[in-house]
Amino acid sequence: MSLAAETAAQLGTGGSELWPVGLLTLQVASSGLLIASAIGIPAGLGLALGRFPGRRALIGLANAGMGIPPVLAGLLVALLLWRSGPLGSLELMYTPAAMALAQALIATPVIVSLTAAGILQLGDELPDQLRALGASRWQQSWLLIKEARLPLLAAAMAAAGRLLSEVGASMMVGGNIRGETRVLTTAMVMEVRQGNFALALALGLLLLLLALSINGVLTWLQQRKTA
Amino acid sequence: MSSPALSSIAPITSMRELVLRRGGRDVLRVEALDIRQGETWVLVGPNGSGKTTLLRALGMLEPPSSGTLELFGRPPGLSPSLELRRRTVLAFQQTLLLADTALANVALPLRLRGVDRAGAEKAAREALELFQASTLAGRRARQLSGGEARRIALARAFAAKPELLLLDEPFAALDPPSREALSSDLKRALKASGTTCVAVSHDRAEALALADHVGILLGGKLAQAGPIDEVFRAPAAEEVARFIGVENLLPARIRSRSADAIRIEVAGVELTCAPSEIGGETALACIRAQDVLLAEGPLGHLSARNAIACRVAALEPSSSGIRVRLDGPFPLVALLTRAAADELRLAPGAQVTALFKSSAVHLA
Repeated sequence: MSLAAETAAQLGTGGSELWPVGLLTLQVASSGLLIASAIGIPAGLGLALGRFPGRRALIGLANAGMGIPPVLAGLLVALLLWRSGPLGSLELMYTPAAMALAQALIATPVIVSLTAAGILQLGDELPDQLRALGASRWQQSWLLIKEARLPLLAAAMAAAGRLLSEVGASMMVGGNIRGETRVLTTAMVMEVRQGNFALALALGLLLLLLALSINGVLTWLQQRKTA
Repeated sequence: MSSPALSSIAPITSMRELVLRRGGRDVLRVEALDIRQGETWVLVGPNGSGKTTLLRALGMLEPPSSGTLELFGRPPGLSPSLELRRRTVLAFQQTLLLADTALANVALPLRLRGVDRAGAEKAAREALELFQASTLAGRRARQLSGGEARRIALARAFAAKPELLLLDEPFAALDPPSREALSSDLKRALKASGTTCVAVSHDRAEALALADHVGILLGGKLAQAGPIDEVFRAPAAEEVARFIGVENLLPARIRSRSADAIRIEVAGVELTCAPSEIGGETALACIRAQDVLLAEGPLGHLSARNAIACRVAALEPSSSGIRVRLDGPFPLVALLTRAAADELRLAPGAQVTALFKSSAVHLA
């Protein structure tokens, strides 16, 4: 059987194996992205609007953090969650929660940095103009986020792409446990190591499909109301 | 007319010894200024005179560096309450519309104040009507031209019916016809609603078109403030006169004073001017170019008290007419309409008599 036919067969019949792995990949990445957004959007807004010492240094730190190697993020989370670590009692090591946490660590600097850039791009005067029209702090923040929705969705796309494709952190704090913490990237590494190229290729195609559809949805959101 | 309640007599805003600082240096000092209910003020000054800083202080976006500023009878303090801030609206020089429809932009200040969508949109449509922008309601902000965006920004500032409306260069970057149209719409809207307004501008003509009160910001301070005809007819100082465009500023020696006139001497010529409080022996006689009339050749006796024989030195066309530079005992500038200049067949070298009433001469 040719590789292509075998891959197609895997995608068709291997459903019971493949799809749960794909689903978990999606769950972990979206949880990571959600945590990162919950922290990163307010933080980015604060960095963009705030006038306090050290603000530039923090923006620089967030920019630098966009390049954090996933294995390093994995290592930091592992140190926290290891049985003897500060959060060891939670027994989260080798669970999807640990993976989501590591991924949040990877995505947060991306969200912080691109949110700050997106808000700053609106100019110095818009935040004050909104206040001068009678906006409270909350209303001002909400309006600015709405106004910067295009760069914010771009930030989400960038972060989602990074999370779906990372292997190092998921491997380190997830452990690639079948049926528990196996995601598409860790499964691919394992299948290739075992010579199952057809299955690895099928997993790869599924990963590509996932990445494309998430970015498709975000692009649609981005362009929906601005045509 | 009913007698005004005490609250309407008290000024909307009151400044005493106010100092505004920006980037570590004093940009503006205001000794005393009271702005009352229903007045339209235009504060005029060159770029960098602290106009915007003053407006930001009035809009409670930044506190004054020292002195007292009261709004609605109380000092706003370092963190003014939302309720207090919502009694004013400041429209920035940039239109700064949100990426939404014009209607949603105009409705925004009402939505921010908790008005439901239907109520906010109804008020927004009324505000659009005031600025003849009803047809723009459904357009998105970035599809608007500069002039249209300016109308929407003004309608937005008006929509929530603020008690004090603050406008930073409301007609900036508009061509003269749109500026005039918008200025008269704004003036009408202000009078109809009785809204108190403080606008800042670098353009004297704008102030004349819009304001009933004017403040002149020069050299880091509020140099003069008051009803517009008072300031433009009787500038308090030479710098003010120059800035507001009084073209004839003549150093004069005071000869005699009487109840109905003051006799002055300018370059050996005696002139009569309206009585004034001015003391001392010397003064600056200020005569607006549009108050100087010209007659062909020499003249007999006239009702105008001041008649000077001159020679036409130069003719300069300008947007407001023809500026005629005159040589005589002292240089003078007269502003004539094109038709009048044509009728007199003025040409450089022509002998004319320059006339102005004593009431056109102000001493500073």
